[in-house]
Amino acid sequence: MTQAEEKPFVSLHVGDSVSFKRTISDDDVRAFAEVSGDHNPLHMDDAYARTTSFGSRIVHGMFLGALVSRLVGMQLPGKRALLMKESLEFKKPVRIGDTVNVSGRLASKSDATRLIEIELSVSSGDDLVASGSAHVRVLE
Amino acid sequence: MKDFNALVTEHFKVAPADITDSLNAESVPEWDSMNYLLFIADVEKAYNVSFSMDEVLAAKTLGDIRTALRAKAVDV
Repeated sequence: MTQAEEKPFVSLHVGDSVSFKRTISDDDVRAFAEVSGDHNPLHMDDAYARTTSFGSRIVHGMFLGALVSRLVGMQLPGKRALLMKESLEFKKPVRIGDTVNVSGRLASKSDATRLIEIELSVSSGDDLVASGSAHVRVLE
Repeated sequence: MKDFNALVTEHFKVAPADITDSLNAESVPEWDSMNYLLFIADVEKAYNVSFSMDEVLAAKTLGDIRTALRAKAVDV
């Protein structure tokens, strides 16, 4: 998806929801490390990761945060989005090769401020791996 | 439900003992346009009210916001 959807403020309603799936590859993790500067060996070094309680490399938590950026910037509300606040709790580790489902539900809408609050959940199979919220201003 | 002063502390980083009705954007470093909008949205949610754009733009102090809430029958 390279074309952002366009949902004007008036078209948004509490309860609206969107989602997408993404399989996270080794290339994704290495690219995120380059962009973010986070080359922590837990994400990058198989031999090191095997010595930890995780047993293998895990995906950066903020990679999931970046997927939230995609959900907001491309789908809800899409083109007119200005992300103002995002909070995520990382519940379970995500492994390279996992397919995550990222979903957002519009929980509240303020006409005066043009702010919407989106409840977020990221799951991998039956596991909830992250949850949180995003506050987004819908530009005119 | 968070009360009004708790929301002020959360959004504007003002200690509870320092909260007065005269606080405004000039006196509170964290009171910028973005924090103000987030604060208003949380106040609306906390008290289940809706402000108009005019009310939001007209309010210059915390006291103004309390007055606007009281006009909506909210006891703050």
